[in-house]
Amino acid sequence: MMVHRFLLATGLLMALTAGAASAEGLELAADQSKIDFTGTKPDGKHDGGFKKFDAVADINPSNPLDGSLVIEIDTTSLWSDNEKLTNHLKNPDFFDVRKFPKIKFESIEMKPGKERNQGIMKAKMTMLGKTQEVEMPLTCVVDGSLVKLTSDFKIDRTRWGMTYGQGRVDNDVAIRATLVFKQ
Amino acid sequence: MSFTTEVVLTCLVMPAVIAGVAAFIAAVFARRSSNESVTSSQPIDAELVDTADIFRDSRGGTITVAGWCVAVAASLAVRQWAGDQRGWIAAITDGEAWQQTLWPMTVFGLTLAVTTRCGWRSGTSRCWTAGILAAVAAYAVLPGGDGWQDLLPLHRPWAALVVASCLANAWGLERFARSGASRWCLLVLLAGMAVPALLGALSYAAPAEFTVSGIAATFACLVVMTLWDRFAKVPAALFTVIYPGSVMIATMTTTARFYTWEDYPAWLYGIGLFSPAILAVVDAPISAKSVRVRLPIAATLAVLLIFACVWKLVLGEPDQNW
Repeated sequence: MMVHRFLLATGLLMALTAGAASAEGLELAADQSKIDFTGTKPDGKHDGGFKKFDAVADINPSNPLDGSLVIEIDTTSLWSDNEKLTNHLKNPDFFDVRKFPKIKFESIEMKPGKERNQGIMKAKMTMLGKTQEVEMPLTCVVDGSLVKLTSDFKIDRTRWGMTYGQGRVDNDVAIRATLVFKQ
Repeated sequence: MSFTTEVVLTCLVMPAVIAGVAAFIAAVFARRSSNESVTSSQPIDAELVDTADIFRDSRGGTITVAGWCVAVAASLAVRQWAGDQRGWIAAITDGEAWQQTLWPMTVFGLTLAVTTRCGWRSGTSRCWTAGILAAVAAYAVLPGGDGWQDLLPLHRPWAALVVASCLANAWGLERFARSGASRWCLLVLLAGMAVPALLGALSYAAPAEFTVSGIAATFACLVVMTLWDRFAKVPAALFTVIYPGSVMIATMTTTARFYTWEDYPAWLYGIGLFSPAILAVVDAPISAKSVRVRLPIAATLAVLLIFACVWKLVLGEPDQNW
């Protein structure tokens, strides 16, 4: 465990402090970042995502596992592979974007993962006015001056009260997040 | 239970059974009233011609409206309130704006059903009361809050449209009933509910389900009316569901407008809001003619109006199933 922790710390340290190390938040490269989701149903699936979001990563160079990540998603920027579905997803049956225009995601704990550049992040996710804890794998890759964080995980939408269409639309939603930060 | 089964049971079967039972009880009451009125010496209003019996005693009509409102409320309770994680009280008192229209819809329906004898003469208290209740429905259905700032300019015109729609449709449908068409004015109401249901289904399923429960409840009243009509002559009291139905048409079309991000043409909402009134206006010059003339004309116009909307919303669009 100590070895893992050390390796992750070293990896994240290399990734997030490459170049000019800074304890300040990294700047999100919005044009290279994306947060997508895939909703499934017994007879198919649909892809979607959010066009607008902001993320702030604060890193403690001496201990990257103490770093934090805060993501705020503008739900009105929701898109999907079907125009009418987008309309439906924005309404109170699903995301209710007028009443809840933001989805907030705040990391609360980082744990080392299996690989050197991987970790497990525990976070609070606030959606539809309800906050629930989620846990997801996180991979960090450094490419020149860019730091790329990726994560693929699933959430059970009903935990946030998004219960419409149960049985017709699966409860689990796959989320793929790619956040690119400039140093 | 699958999603489809649940929707069929709670939005079709349950409201149909509740409204059907209420309509049956109402028909029994209406027949008793009719039998009593045979010996009554009370004069009949000149405006009330061949369906005079149903306007003499409002008990049957009131029971029908109450049953219809309970039917749609039960559907709303099962589909929306029961699943609300905040609990029943919060769900009922702090639900979506369109859910709050249940109350003015019920009061509007009961008030007009109780006062069917009074007619719509200009300046009567019935007319004013209906207008005030329609305004309350408009106030209830228009969503407000921080998230709705961009649509605030639409509030005034749509409030006026809701009031106009409630009154025009209630007047138009009642006119059908008063001019010998009480046995098929519910078909006009059903046709009027089709477009709001379709508009809702394309953007926000929950109010569309609510409209479908209204359609099922109305259809049950129509079935009871039709079956009863084979044995007795007074089931026409059941026509009173046109009153809450008129409010449902106005409020659900409004909901569809406010919860969509698509720019549909104004004529589409015009049909959604006013199709029963349009049919009544077209029927007015021929209201003295037989049902064999009036019914096909009304049916043809209703089909054309609905088809125009279906074409615009579904058939004319690229295939987008989801």
